[in-house]
Amino acid sequence: MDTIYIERSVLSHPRALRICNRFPDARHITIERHSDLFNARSQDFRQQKKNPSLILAYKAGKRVHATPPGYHIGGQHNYYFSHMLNCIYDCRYCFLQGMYQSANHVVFVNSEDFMTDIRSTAGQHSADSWYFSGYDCDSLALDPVTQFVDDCLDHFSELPNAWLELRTKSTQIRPLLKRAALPNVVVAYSVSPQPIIAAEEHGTPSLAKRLDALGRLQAHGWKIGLRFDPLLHADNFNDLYGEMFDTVFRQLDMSAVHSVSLGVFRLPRGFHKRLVRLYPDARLLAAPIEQRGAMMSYPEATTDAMRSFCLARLKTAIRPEQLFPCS
Amino acid sequence: MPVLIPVTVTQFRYTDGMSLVCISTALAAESRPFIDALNLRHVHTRGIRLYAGDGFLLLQTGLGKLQAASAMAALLHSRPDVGAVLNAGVCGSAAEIGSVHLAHEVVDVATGRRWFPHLPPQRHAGQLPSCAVHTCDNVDISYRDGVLFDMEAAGIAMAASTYLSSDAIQYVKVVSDNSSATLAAFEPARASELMSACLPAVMTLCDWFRQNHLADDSARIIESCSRDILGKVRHSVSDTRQLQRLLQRHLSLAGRAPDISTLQRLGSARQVRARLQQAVQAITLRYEP
Repeated sequence: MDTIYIERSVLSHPRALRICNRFPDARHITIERHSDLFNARSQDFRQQKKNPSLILAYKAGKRVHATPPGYHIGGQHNYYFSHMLNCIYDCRYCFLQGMYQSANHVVFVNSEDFMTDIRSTAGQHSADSWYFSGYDCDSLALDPVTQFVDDCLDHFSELPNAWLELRTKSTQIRPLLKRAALPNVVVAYSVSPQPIIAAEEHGTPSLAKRLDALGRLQAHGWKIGLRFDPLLHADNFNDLYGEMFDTVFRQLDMSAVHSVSLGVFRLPRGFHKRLVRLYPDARLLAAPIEQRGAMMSYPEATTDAMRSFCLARLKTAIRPEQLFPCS
Repeated sequence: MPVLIPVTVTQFRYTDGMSLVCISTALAAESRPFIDALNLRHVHTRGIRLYAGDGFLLLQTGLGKLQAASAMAALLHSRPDVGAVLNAGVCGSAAEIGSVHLAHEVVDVATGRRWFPHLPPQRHAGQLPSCAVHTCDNVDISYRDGVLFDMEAAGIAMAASTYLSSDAIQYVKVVSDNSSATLAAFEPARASELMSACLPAVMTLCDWFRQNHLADDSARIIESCSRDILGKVRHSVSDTRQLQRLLQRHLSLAGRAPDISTLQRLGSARQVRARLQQAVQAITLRYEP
């Protein structure tokens, strides 16, 4: 990390101090509000992505939000929270590429406030409620810096009716392996065929490393989830995904997987437009994609074929109640 | 006081497709080291004082943020090939005379408006310390710690940020006066000597900028293909935009441009589009191990 911006209000926050101490050689710059910098116009996302800065900030206002319809794994009450904005990875299909003006990483250091809000939200429901942490960032990728997961798990260990999903592609699982597995936490990995990882998920761990991490977590007693989302179209789709499923089924105990979700590549129209403007040369975005309602996705016949192929393969390895197809 | 050593700059090789870097200064004395080191020649341009050389322009704006903003806007409006702006100049500060700083924030003191340049990695910025630059309408001699005072940076930021992104506008400042050697005692001729100190930093930033903005081959191929088609088949603005996107998609998927001569023989933009769409859909997309 080369440059760290710190909001004046968190200069003496213990987490901010700890993160700053971790990078003694970085430029430490005090700012008033992270939005002055993060939301400023005239930023080049693609250039910033090559050399992102870290912004340590205080998250005020609403911290726990209801998920969009369809974003769930069977729970009735579903929420997401974003202790970070932006991701260290550079996946060409990710909606985060078109979400913010800036590619800098914002870390909200007041995680205690997130936990208070989660507690209070969980208290409003008699049934179980779900909290998704990997919505605006990868849940684990920057954890060596933020150490958010440890704090978070301490709180969730006291909230039996609240479930946490950590969504990641990262192999930073040390904090999870250091402690006993919690029954109300699911560590969910996005999984893609290796050639797609190499071509479209820049900077992410390989399929083999992800499966190794999943295997270790499973062996340690953690509930694991598999997220085959987004499925990307290719003329050799069946070979690519068939081979990937074979590898996954071989390496993991599929009967013990908590949940599997499946979704074909789709983006809201506005995000797709921004993504094309950012990466006009991306092969993924050059493939035939059409508008359906407010979303951009592959033609319906292509989508159906992709989904059917994957569902057929998954049905050989998991029970129907483990599967959650995304709309 | 640091010893100021005159710097010789190896002549940069400017190649086709690279964008120009514009160095902006306020005063003739600040411009001189750059003019000499980069072999710049005066270019007669109406309303602005401009020097040009291989890959570089130097814009001498005159004193104050309004002069800086109006000159910079005029230049960037007329020269879309300028890809980066480096504002270099002397400033007041509590820091040591002759010390060189990069700006991490530019504040227009009169309006409170702020700009945040996206800083280059430290290894590409010569490990320069960074500071906030406060642009004042009148000379400020408060010499506060951690703040540089100048009279142009906010004007440059205001004008250049309309045309360029925050990574492509950087500010390099040399301290010319502080509480122990105030502005009253400052000789303008000394500005040239001080500015020589920031020459290496400016050149390092130029290198970083050029590495970051290497010429995009695909953009040039599309531009050339689309020009060839537009020369033969009439396209509206909207048609042209769709054509260019289809050309881009073809290039990305197939790794080469489509056969332009076939497209040139078609009778309308719609036919060109239909043919290109067909071609794009026929290209296979495979991810290979």
